[in-house]
Amino acid sequence: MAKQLGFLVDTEKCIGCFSCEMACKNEYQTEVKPRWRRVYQLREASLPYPERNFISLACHHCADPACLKVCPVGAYSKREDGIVLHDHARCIGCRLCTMACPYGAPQYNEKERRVEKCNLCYQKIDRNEEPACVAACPVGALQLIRDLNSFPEPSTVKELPGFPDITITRPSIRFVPPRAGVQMRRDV
Amino acid sequence: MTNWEWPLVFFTILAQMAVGYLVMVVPGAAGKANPKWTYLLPAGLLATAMVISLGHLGHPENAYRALTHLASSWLSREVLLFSLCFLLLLVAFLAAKGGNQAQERLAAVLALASGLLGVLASALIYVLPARPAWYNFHTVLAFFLTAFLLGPALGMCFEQVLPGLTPWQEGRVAGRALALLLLLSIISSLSYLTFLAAAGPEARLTLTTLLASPWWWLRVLAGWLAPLAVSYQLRRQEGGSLSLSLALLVLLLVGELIGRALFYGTAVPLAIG
Repeated sequence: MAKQLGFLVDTEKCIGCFSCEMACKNEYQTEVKPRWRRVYQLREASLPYPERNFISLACHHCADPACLKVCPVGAYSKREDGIVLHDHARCIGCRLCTMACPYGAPQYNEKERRVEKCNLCYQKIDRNEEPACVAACPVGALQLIRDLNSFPEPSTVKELPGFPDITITRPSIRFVPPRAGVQMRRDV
Repeated sequence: MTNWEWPLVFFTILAQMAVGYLVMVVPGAAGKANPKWTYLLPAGLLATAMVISLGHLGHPENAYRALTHLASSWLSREVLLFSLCFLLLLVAFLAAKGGNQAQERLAAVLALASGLLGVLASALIYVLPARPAWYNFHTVLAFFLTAFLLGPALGMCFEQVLPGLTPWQEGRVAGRALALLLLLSIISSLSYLTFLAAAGPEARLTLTTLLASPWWWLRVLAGWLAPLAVSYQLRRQEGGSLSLSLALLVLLLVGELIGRALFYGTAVPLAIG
């Protein structure tokens, strides 16, 4: 089985500080609007737990990427380590990938009139470094999985409530799910 | 309502009308065709549609690249098939002008086939699991119904001006056929609404948005009820009527344009959270 890099998101550790988002923006100096990485608050209605939980999501570098299949110009490619790359210069801005991705990873840059997305800091990966978002996480909630095929998964899950159907593209992400905690406050 | 995608609306509707028109004119074309109206009209419609579609692209100057991922992209296949259809129509026109009936017939039939496959490819672009409102057979059905409604309506208008262009399309037959297609369109839309109601939360949100939109009700009136009344009138006219045919075409065109804009504008994507 081919190697597949991925992300591990520990919802118990994540405090929703947006450091990962900021690190990504600093690294690539992207425009305000396309947010390659986004921090979401899990909706309380989706979970039976009276506490706030966050997940940090970017492109999942899926095993079966919908973006790659639908792109009419072949701007997407999948590396041997599973990273899904987008060739910015080749993109013609048809936005079909933004419609096909269930996770909203490819986003249209209105200024450049092209789509862009997370590249998993492949240049850092090639230097055996961590992606900018992973390195910036102050609580170790976001980690890089070097190979999903040999990743010990007993304490992790492939999806959380409110996460789109994983059978569509088989996203390369795992979660440490939230556990019931003490209620400190409720959202309005 | 997020995005009406007007370039895509006009592109798909005009291309489908061109293919629907071909369905009407190609069967009886060879030898007795009026080449200008039989081949150049749909070719012109297709060319106009494809030029309009460039308005959707961020970088239209590189649109030619859309032909480079035929292995898996329905968008690439759609561009190829419609381009082929356009070129074959030009070949058919030139063959008809030169009096080569066999070549004209072959090119016309191949143009029709690639046009029909182009409509199929168009529809399959949008059969995406990430958009539950599109991820069903109604998308394919709706695209073909647009072709089979607008094509004959256009053909019926030209039949009034140029008798013999679509020989089998006499007033009563055409009116009856269109009325049946309209009924099928209405039934398929009702079936679509019930599908949305029974599917997931995103599809239900699409349904709510659709029914709350005044555009939907205008589509019901202009695209279904009024054309149904006009086609009933047409059935009663022995030799057809230019004004009724024109009214029918305009109503159907408005209805389909609004319907397609709603198709793009109301499809709620899967969302996180």
